[in-house]
Amino acid sequence: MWMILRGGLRRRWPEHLLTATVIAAVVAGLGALRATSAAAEAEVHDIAHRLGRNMLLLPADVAPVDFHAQRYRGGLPDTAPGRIRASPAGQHVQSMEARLYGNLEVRGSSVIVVGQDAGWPVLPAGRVPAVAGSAAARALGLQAGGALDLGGLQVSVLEVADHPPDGLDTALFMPVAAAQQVLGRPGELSAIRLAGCWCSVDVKTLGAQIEAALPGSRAITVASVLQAQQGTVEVVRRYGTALHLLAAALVAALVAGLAVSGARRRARELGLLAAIGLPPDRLAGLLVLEYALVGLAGGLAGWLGGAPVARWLVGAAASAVPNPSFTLVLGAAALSAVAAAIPALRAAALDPAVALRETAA
Amino acid sequence: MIEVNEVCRTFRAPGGGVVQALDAVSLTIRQGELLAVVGASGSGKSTLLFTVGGLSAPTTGRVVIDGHSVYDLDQGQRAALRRTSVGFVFQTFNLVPYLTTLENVMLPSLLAGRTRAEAEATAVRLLERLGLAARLRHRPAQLSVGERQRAGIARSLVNAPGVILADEPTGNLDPESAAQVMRLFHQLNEEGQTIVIVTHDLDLAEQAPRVVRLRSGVIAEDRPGLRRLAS
Repeated sequence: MWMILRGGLRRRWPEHLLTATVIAAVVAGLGALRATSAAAEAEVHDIAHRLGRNMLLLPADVAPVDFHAQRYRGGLPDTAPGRIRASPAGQHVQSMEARLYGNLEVRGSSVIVVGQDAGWPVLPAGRVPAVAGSAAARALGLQAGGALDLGGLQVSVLEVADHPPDGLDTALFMPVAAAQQVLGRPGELSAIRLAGCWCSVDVKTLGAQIEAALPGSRAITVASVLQAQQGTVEVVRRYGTALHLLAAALVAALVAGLAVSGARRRARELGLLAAIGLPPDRLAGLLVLEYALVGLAGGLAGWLGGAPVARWLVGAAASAVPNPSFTLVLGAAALSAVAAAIPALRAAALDPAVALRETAA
Repeated sequence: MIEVNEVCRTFRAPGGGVVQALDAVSLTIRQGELLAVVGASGSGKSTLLFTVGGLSAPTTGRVVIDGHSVYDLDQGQRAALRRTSVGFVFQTFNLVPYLTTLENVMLPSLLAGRTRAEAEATAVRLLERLGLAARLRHRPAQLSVGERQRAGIARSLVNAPGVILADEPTGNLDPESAAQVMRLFHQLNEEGQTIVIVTHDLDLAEQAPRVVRLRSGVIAEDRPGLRRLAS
C-alpha cells in the first residue's frame, strides 16, 4: 500500500504542505512556549535555591527600603548571634554574618562605616585593619597601605576594593568592634545575615521563631517574592494549557476539514480501491496514515524550528532554554490521525458503487 | 458459476420516494459464458452488475458466486472475494491517476498479498499481451483512451478472477478502439473467461453469445446474440 500512500501524498502535496506548515507553526509556537516557560521556572527555582538560603535580620523599626537606601538607624544587640544559636531555630542556621552600618562624615566626605567580622589580621600597636571601597578611597585620598585617623582610632587601609561587598564602594570595612567605637554605638549591630539550607523547613515559621528569640527584630525572607514569581509561572502554565487545547482544536479542525474534502475529491479513487478488493478498514487506515504522516512531518519541522524560536524569544538566557519536548511531535501525529479517523471511516463506509457511478456521471 | 436469485434493489430518490432499480431479477451465469446485458438508461444494468460484483447489496434476494452467498459474507470477506473472484472494467477506466500503467495493473495483485516481484511479472505479461509493453511507465493521462481501457482490462485480469464484469467498457471509446476491446473480450472468453458486459450499444451486444435485456429493473429478454463477431 506504500505505492498508494506515496502517490497520494505526492499528488496532494499543496494541501499536505499547507497542513504540515500550520502544524509546524503550532508545534514551534507551543514548543517555544513550553521551553521559555520551563526556562522561567528553572530561573525561579534557581533564585529560590540561592536566595532561599539567606535571611536578613533587621531592627524592627528599620524599614527594609531605608536599609537598602543606606539610611541606617536603630540597632540590634551584639549578643543577638548567640541568642539565635541558642534558640530552636539555631539548628537550621549554618552561618551568621553580623554587621554594623553607619553613616559618617570624614574629611568633608560622607562615607559608610561597615563593621564586619571576617578574619581580619591583627595589626601591631593597636592599629585597626580596614578595606576601603574605591569611591571612599578616592574621596578620602587613600590607597592600599595608607592610614586614617577616625576619632582617635588609627585605621590602616589594607586594600582598596574595586568591587566591595554589596557594591558599597563608598564604605570603609573594618571589624565590628572598631566600627562600634568609630560610630559611637557600642554593643550594637545593624543587621545579621543568616545562611543555611532551609529547603525542608517553612521559612516563614523559621523567621517567626527567630523574631521570637530576638524581640525587636524583623526577619526578612525572599518567600513572598518567590511566591509572587511562582504565581506568575502558574498563570503562564494555566494559559499555556488553554493555548495547547486551542492549538489542538485548530489542528484537529484543519486536518478533519482537509480529510473530508480530500475524501470527497478522491471518491472515485476510493471507490475503485474498494472495488478491487481493499477492505474498508484498510482503506480507512490508509487515509489515517496519510494524515498521521503529514502531522508527523509538520510536528518534526515545528520541533526543529521550536528551539531557535525559543532561544530568540528568551535572548540572553539562551543557554537556559531546553529543547521543546518530542512529545509534541508524537502528539501532532496522533492528533492528525485521530482528526482524520472519522472522515476516513465515513469515506471507507461509502458504497463504492455509488462513488464510482456518481463520479463517472 | 454465478447465481442471481430474486434480487430486488431499491434506492431512495433524491426528491423523496423510492426507485425500483431491480425487481426480482433471477439469472444464472455459467462458467465460460460471455453475456451482454442491454437496456435503456436507468433500466438497472449497472446496478445489476455492481450487485453481482459484491459492490452493492440487494434489498432482497441472493447473489451466489462459486458457492459463496456474497452478501452473507462480512465486508472483509466480500472484499477478499472481489480481489480473487471478480474483475471490474469501467466505462471511465478508473485508473489511479498518480500510478503508472504497470502499477495500476499490479495493484489488485498486491492487495491480494502477492510479492511485488510476482505482481510485476504478471502485470508485465498481461500488458505485453494487450499491446501496452511500451507504456509500462506511462501514467494514465499519457495514454490514449483505448490504451487506458486495455490497461483497465489488464488490471481486471491480473488476479485471474472467475468473472470479469464490464460496465459500458466501450462507452468512451472511438469505434476502432471499441471493436479492439470487444475482440479482446471475445478472445478472453474463448480461453474460458466468464465475462459479463453491460452496454447500451446493441451492435456490440449482439456479438455476444447470450444477450439479456433489462427493462425497468426486470429481465425482459434472455436470448442468444444475433450475430457473432467475425474474427
